[in-house]
Amino acid sequence: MDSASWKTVKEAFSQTLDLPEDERDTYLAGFAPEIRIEVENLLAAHFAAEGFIAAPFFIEKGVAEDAVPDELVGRRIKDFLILEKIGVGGMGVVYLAERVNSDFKQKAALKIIKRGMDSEAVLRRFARERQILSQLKHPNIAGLLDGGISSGGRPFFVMEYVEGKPLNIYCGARNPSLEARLEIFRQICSAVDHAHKNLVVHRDLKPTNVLVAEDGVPKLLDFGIAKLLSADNTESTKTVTRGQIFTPEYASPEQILGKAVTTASDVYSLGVILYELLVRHRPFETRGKSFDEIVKSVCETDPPRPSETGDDQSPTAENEMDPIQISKDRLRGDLDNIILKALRKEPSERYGSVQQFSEDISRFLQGLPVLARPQTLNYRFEKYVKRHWVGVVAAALVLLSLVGGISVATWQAVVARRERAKAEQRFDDVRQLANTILFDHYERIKNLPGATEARAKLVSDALVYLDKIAQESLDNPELQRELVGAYKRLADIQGSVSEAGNLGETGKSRDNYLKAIALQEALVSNAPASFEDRRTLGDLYFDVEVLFENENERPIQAEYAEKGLNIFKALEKDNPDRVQRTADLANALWNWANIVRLKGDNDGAIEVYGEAAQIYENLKLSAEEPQRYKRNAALSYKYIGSIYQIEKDYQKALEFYQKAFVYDRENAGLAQNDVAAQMDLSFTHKSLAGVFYKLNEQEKMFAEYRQAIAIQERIFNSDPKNNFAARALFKSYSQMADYYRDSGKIAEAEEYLQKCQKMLASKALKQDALDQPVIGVYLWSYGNLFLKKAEAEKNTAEKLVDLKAARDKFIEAANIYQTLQKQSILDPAYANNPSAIAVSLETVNRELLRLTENKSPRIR
Amino acid sequence: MADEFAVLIQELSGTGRNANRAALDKLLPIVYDELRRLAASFLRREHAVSIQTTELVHEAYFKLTDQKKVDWENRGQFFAVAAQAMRRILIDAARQRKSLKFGVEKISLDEAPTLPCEVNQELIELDAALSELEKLDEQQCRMVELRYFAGLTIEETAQVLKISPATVKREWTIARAWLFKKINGD
Repeated sequence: MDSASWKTVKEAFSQTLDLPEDERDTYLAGFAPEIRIEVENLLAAHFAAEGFIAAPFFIEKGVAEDAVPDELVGRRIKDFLILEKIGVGGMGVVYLAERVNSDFKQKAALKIIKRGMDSEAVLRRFARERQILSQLKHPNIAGLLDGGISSGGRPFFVMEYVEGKPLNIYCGARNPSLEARLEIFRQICSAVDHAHKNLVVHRDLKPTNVLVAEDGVPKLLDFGIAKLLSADNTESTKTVTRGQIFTPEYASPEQILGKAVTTASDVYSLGVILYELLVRHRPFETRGKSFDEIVKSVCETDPPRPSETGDDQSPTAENEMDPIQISKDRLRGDLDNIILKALRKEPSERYGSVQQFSEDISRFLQGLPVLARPQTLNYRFEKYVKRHWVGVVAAALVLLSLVGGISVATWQAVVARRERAKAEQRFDDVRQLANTILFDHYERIKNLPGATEARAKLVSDALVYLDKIAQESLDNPELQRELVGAYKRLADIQGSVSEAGNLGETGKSRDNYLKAIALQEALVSNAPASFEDRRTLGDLYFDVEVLFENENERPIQAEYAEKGLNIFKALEKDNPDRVQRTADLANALWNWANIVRLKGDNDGAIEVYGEAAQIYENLKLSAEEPQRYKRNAALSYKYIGSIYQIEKDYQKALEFYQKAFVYDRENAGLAQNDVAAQMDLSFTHKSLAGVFYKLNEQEKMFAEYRQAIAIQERIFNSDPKNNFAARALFKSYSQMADYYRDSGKIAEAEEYLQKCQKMLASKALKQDALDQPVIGVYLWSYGNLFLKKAEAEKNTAEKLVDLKAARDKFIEAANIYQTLQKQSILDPAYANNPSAIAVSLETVNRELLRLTENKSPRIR
Repeated sequence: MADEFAVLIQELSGTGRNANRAALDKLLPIVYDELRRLAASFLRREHAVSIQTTELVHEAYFKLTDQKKVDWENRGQFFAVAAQAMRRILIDAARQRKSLKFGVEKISLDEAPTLPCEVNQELIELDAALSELEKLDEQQCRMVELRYFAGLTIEETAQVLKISPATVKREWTIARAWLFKKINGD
């Protein structure tokens, strides 16, 4: 279109739009057809374009707040006329609406999803809120009236409109008495209790979510982040992370720490509401505090008893208007105890239910004894130590620096014999303190959440002192040993694989292990070294070896593994009768065999595994735990078998798998409920199946496989939460499908893949980084099945369908591996899968191309 | 960088409404980079409800220039450039997301703003339609960039484009209809 006609079109369009509807056609008839058609098209688009780029991108997509007047006011959605916007939430906008096609006027609150927020997750949440509301029918809960999809395609629902004021405003305007406040509060409790009995946790209780009508009847609103206790627990706990959704002032410690949220969390929030209702401020000061400070007080500080809150404490801004003057005497005792019981840090120490909470208030109102008791002294003391460990430790450190400072200085200065004794005394004090910190305090705080960094600080601080005094006494082996222990401990915290909450500082961890090793080596070389000293050194070598393995430093790893092996070999040689030493040696051999195998020396690895197996065979005769050593022997045999299998010596592989099978069957038979023993046996069946496959003994292969699957199904059914068992079963199903497919049994193969599919659909797998590669294999297998079907298919159209299905599965599988690779969390065992899948994809694409180019439909 | 930016702004404003192509080309990458960085950190923020698009652009502007030296006219120029840059940022992000699906990674993920998946296709379609519109009516294209990508109001858009708010309103309505028609099939 040239610019002159465009100008005409624009002009005509604007003019037409200004005209009344019935005059438009007449006006447009005066233009040339091409102009008229263009304008008509534009007009049609204009009317159809409701909401299209109406708000700026960031606002439309919900990442910024709506700054434009809303386009829905004045429109009708279903039977409701939108009157005005009354609120904006994270995912939806709430409007005041009025029912129009009815004899009676009914006001309603209409909540509609924000434009551009209709992602699957938000839609699910929205639908969930609607579902929750639909099942809650209670006089103190704003009920659901209607719902549906707007003509613009946005889901909405309509709630009862509550003409009332938020709890705090209502109290400000009406100043209800203590009794009236407690009655209102009990009605709120009744609403929350009703929700709990329907397995709904509100999770965001606060005064602004409670509207009180003129007659004093409160109604609970906003189940937007409520959680259904019965279903999809995992999903909902994931959506609530620190500081994201809830209101921190009313959130329980467990909510703030991102732990499991239960009905007890609502009890806590109700406790805060009641506290505020009676003393006009919340138990914890939040004004002008950072989120972290609030977290600290909510999780660590005991709230002041309501009766002991000073009159000088000013109300929070929201409660300024509340003129309440309740004598503190009335709060003292029972009400204090009731509120503080609801506010306990430990969920299990709060009221068992909202109903109990409410009933205790009722007992108070009737003058009956209440259930809530003050916290005992012992309880408080325990809490103190638990909560103030940082302070306790800090005090210890200060003390340490004082004593330590004097000691070292004195030590250096001391010549006189008389002074020496005194200095030694101080010296020992420091040492003892440092060790207390390292070993006693450390153990105590080890399992406290969030203490990892504090632990590291603690240990490194203590280490400084030990280091200093160790420098002064290189000839004191006891001290050197302590120093080794300290370095090891620090290294463990920084990066040990076996330390649950390590800091992930592998480099620092390695350096400290090496320091410990250097000291320990000196200890071992100096004297006729003790068994324990040498063993410690051996263990240290293995600690650092594992780190090098994780960093892929194979040669250095091998060096330390060999050093460790030599130590344990020597120890065993010195005294072969000691079970501990032989067991140590066998472990060291295992470790070494792994390294030999990684180097690619298969024969060497078989030999070392064999040595280890021989030790276990001997140990099983003499030791108290024959099962354990039989298991280890069996494991060694399985490794040997697998290496033979790689070497394609299938007879040898079979021989070793059968040796393993004897022990595994025996162990599994003895311990029917021992999951590990049962899994071992199932894996051995699978190993046997694998080698029978290679030996072309199909019947035997399927028989072994069925036995493996039967065992795994039994374990999975008895404990569906055991993800290890679930994954193993899933994997077995998809491998079974592979075997069936290879032997041409398509229907059977599909049957097993569908079992996998069913497991996925029922969320039997956690789908974590360990599950993903297995799911990838399953998809790949499914793709291969479709490929096989396509090969057999004569009809070109059908063939195309199968090929496309195969392609989809391959792409899905490829995406999984790609994601894992990108995050560098792909298990090396699956490292070849991406390229292999790429080949499959290439194959299917080539076939597709060939077919669509209408060449001969014959395949191979 | 601020000085360089001021000079470029000067050049731009000197040439008035017919933007100096060379200056624009030099300016755009600077703004683009700064905005992309800002947009990335902005979009990554979990709780980004308080900041508005215009604030974002202001933030970039104040970062890039010594605000005392620049008058409103320059600021208008800035918004025009920023809006274009914003469009490119978002389209790049959308395209990148799309291409990632097929395994081709072009720029580091850390630098690029991440968008919800489902908006990618819409954005890419809108961008294509806008480029068509630019051929037909350059001013309308600028207008859409200013309103939709930089979040300017009718009045602000009018100031930047040096036309009346009524004209903006009228032209905006047409541009929207035209784009909608283009995207949803003529």
